[in-house]
Amino acid sequence: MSKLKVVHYINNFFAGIGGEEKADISPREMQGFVGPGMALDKSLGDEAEVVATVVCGDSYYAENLEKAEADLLDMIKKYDADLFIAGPAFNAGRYGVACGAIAKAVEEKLGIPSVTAMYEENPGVDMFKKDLYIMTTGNSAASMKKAVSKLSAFALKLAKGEKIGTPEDEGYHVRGIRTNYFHEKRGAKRAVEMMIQKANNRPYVTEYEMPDFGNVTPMPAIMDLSDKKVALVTSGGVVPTDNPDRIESSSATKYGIYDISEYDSMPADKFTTIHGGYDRTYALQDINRVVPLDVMRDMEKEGVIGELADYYIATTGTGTSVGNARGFGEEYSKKLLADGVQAVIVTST
Amino acid sequence: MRLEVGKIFINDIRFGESTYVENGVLYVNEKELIDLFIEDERIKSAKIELAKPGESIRITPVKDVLEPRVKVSGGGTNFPGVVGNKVKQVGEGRTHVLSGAAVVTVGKIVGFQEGIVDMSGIGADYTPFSKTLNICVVIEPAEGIESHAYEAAAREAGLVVTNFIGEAGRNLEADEIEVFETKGILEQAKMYPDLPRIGYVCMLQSQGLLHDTYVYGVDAKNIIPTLMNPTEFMDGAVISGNCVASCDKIPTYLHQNDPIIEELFEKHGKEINFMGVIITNENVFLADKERCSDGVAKLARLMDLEGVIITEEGYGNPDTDLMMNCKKVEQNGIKTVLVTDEFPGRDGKSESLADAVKEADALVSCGQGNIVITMPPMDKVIGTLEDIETMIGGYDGSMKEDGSIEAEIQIIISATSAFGCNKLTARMH
Amino acid sequence: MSLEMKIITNNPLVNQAIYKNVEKVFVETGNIQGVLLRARDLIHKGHKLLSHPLSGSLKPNENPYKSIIISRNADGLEFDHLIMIEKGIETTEKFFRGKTLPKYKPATDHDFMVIDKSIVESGLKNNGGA
Repeated sequence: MSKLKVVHYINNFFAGIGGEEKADISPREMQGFVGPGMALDKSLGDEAEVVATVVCGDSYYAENLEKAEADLLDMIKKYDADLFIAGPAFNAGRYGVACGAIAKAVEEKLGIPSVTAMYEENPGVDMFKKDLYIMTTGNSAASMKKAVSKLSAFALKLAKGEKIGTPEDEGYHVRGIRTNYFHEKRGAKRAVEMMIQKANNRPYVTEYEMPDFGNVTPMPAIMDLSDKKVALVTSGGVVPTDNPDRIESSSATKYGIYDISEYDSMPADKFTTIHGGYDRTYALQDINRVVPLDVMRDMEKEGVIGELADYYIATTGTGTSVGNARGFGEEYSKKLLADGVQAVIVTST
Repeated sequence: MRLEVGKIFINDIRFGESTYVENGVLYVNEKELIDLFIEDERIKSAKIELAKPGESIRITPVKDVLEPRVKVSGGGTNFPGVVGNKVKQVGEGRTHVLSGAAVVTVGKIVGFQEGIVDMSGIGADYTPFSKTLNICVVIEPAEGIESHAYEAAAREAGLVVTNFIGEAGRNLEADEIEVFETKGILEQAKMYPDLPRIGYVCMLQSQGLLHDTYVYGVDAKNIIPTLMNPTEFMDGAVISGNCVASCDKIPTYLHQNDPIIEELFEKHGKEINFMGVIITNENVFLADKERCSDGVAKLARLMDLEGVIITEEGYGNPDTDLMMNCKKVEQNGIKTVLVTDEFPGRDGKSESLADAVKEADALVSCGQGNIVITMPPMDKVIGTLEDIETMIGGYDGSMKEDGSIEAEIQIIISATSAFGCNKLTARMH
Repeated sequence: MSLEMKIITNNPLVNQAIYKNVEKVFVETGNIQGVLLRARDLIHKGHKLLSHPLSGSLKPNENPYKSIIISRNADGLEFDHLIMIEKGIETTEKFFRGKTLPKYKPATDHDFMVIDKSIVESGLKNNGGA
């Protein structure tokens, strides 16, 4: 029995090529295993082996989605692999999104069973859980050993076409696929039992969870802005041309606060957009399309608003985890309040 | 109200010289049954066919399924308001049931026929009616008849035939007797003061032609929420005029054998205090929905309930009623459990319900109707296979050359009915 | 109690019928999504949604006809109504994924028109129209 052939995908960091400064490297392939691929290969045991590793820089992938995918698929194709494994990406957002994207492409376009692994808050989970099996992991590479062993065990099952169990049993993120099965009790009986539990304030488990409605109650609408100080906030990735805070083009881990007090309109030579999730052409022609400073100044002059704040706040929305976004908001809203801002206009793309 | 339900166990059905029961066998006479309704000008011809569990028979298109019962004593008659124009209240005294038998009305009302019952094979696993001995009334409409008229004719024929067969049980000795009783609200509350007071909110389909339900003969579109004793259902006070969306249809049989009512009575006096039933409808006009959901919450409060189980019939529009009822009842401090089925799309990945509220934190799922199965060919078809591909759940290529049918389980009668009569459910993978 | 109503429909039978106090907007489209989208546009403009966009148990990928009742006059956007029509549009899209509307025989096509007409009339009758 020949061993199953596995192709492994990792990023610049795990390939040992370099850290953030090498996040822009283009796809390349290497024979056999590289970096954590060694542990993966060992964990796969006698049944399979890592025959090749493909690598791509996290920001290169994010900014060149189509080309990166096409080039990688070209490289992967020739190995005639039985299995494709990406990551584990833990909580690294861009890496997780890249793992999800390439694993999905390999499965759909090359027909090779694929699996990846990452931490629950990684934006890659929400983006790809319905398309792929994504194993759960801890939030850092400290849990590499455990993640690799889980990945390899499941991957073998997939490759051999064995029956896959529930998320709880197998250890993958809940995919959101509603699957039928026959219970031992009929629905009416379960309904009455659930009612008895609920009526007695005892715990019960609903069979279908309502979608997450979020827990932010909107503030009441402001009827008259003429005496209010207003600020602009954007998730459209508009930053000064040199991107001094190095805000990422996707899966942002930071936000920036930028002065606009001397401008009546967003100057194209001082600002740009680094957002990787939309076609930037029209925004670059006129940045006011994303951060509408020109209109806000008009409104200030006309007395529609009392005053515009001296600065605007920016981050990149695409692929940014809910946790991070919530954290940014909680932090900068304190500054906004301290500066007397009473209303915010948030522009997204 | 106190009702004694006497079950006469039927373990076979056969054709005979007349309609009677002997040694557990129900004999029916084709001519006798057809003569009951054949004079109706709306009907061109009819025949009776028998289908038993395990046989290689496919029944389609199914309109309704009904259970033969008879009101032995206690005032009122079976199927009040619809058979014989007798409208007296029911639910008391003694009722006999020919248990194990069912009448199935079969026939084409409109071109998008829907509703299959397979008596064997994988399709049989999904419907409760593959386990009943079915007396199929196969009806052909008069030429050029208008749909409303034909629907009424088929419905009336089914009721009249079922009622007639039920009569065969009047003077027999029951094999098993069960007593169901709920008292007036105050007395009922005092009877089990330490048990939670639970009610059942039963939502009735009420949107128009082929989407109707009747309560004592009154079109459910025209009711506002009201109270009922659970035993009234057992005497056929609620009957189905709904012939659409097979998988979550509540045929008359399930109104007569409401599983929620059965399970609530199971625990009545032991773990809960079953106070009664609130019925409401599912009209399309939004103002009607507001009015009725307010009414449901009001009645639940008036009855001083601590919890209600809410069921629905249908998908889409009724999901909004379900959520409105849930939200308003919960906001009145009364706990809810909802029972519903799901349609998350062919791949199971989309939102299962058409509406949602955060108060709906206790939900029982009766399965999702979008999964595709292949039902094997059957030796005999009662009805017609014409139009299978335009049935709900069917599609171009559904009907295979060898006679097998590949379709979503939506096409199977009561596969996912939101009354919880089946064991099918769904979970998140 | 008479409400001034407008019906958005792609159902020729409904379009030809005569209802008291009801204006009709006929949308030339082969599937119900066109009707839902037009209703949504008018709701954006301030018309109130009066009937549920997913009325009837026939699923969007099998039923070609839909009639939706909205208010004749536009007097302000009702956010809940917008959410309801948008959900209806999303649900309709979900049902169409991987499926197409079958091509029906004329008699069957007519049957769908009859059902839709009956359903929209059930809404009109109890509320001052028809």
